Amino acid sequence: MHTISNKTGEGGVVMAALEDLLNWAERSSLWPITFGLACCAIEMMGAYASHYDLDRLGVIPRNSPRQADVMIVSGTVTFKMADSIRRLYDQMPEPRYVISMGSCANCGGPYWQHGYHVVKGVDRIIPVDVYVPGCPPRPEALIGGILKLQEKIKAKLTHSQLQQEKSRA
Amino acid sequence: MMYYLLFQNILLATEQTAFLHIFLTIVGVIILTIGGAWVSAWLRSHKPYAEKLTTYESGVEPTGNAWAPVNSRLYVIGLVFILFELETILLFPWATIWIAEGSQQMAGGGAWNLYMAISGTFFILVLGIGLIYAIVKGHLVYSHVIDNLNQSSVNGKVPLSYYEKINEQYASHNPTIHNNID
Repeated sequence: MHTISNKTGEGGVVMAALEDLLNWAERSSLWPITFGLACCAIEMMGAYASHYDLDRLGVIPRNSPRQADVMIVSGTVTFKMADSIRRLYDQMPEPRYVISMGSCANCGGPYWQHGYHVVKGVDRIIPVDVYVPGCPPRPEALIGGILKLQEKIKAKLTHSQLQQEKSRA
Repeated sequence: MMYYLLFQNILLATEQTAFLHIFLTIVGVIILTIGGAWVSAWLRSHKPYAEKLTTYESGVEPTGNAWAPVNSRLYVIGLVFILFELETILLFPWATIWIAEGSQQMAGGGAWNLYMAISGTFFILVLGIGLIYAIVKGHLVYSHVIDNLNQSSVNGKVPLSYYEKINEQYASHNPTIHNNID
């Protein structure tokens, strides 16, 4: 029988700490909350759809922040939208992660100087874990950002995890 | 499947065995759901605060009461819709079966035709009484709703005096000029 236990010779028993198991589960099923703000959202939808198929990474968009793990801020964050984004982030359960997608969400993008209505980077409202550059970034870049977030969760370096460590200490 | 393998040697294949399987399934479902809910409650982080616990309204601040009154007229409209829908949904198969089965009846199918005609007429009659009731009660007239509310009709024009009032208000007001571009 060509099972993994024969390959590794470990007798089919895996020992792991519960914390590592939970970490593995968390980073393997990053459910983003469904919302798009501007043209980056089109690329994000492309990444969700069959061609790029984010499902294979366990990324399944959810319609409620209660079920979501990660918020993909895809597009221009206006001051009008900032309140909503902050509230939606607050309504997500811990641990929660944020991917800032595109130049507008990263730093204001083309509105960095004269855009009276644009927040100069979503990290002024909510803590951001991964920045995806581009205007807009291609779906591959977003997938790269999600993989980077998985690495960061594995290393326990996200804002949510660091805050948790701080409160525990 | 596992409990079947466990018990098939012990118990005889009677009706009691089948009921035992159902019973074990029910017990298994209860244990799995309660156990799963308990494990997830035990493992998840639990940090409630006021903003997190607010009603989810797509990020908009929730206003008003969820127990708002709903116009009972919607209930009547729903009933009238069912009246028409039911008629359509049931009369098509009725007609199809009448034709399809009628060819298989012997001797012209006189009794079959009579049976189908009576049952169909009875069905239309019952719904027809409901339709007549709705018409008599005026539930199919939708244009008189606004008249019932005793509201004055809206012409869609803002009176000129309103504009004059606003102009007067802003004439005395000295607006500061904002310049974002240095």
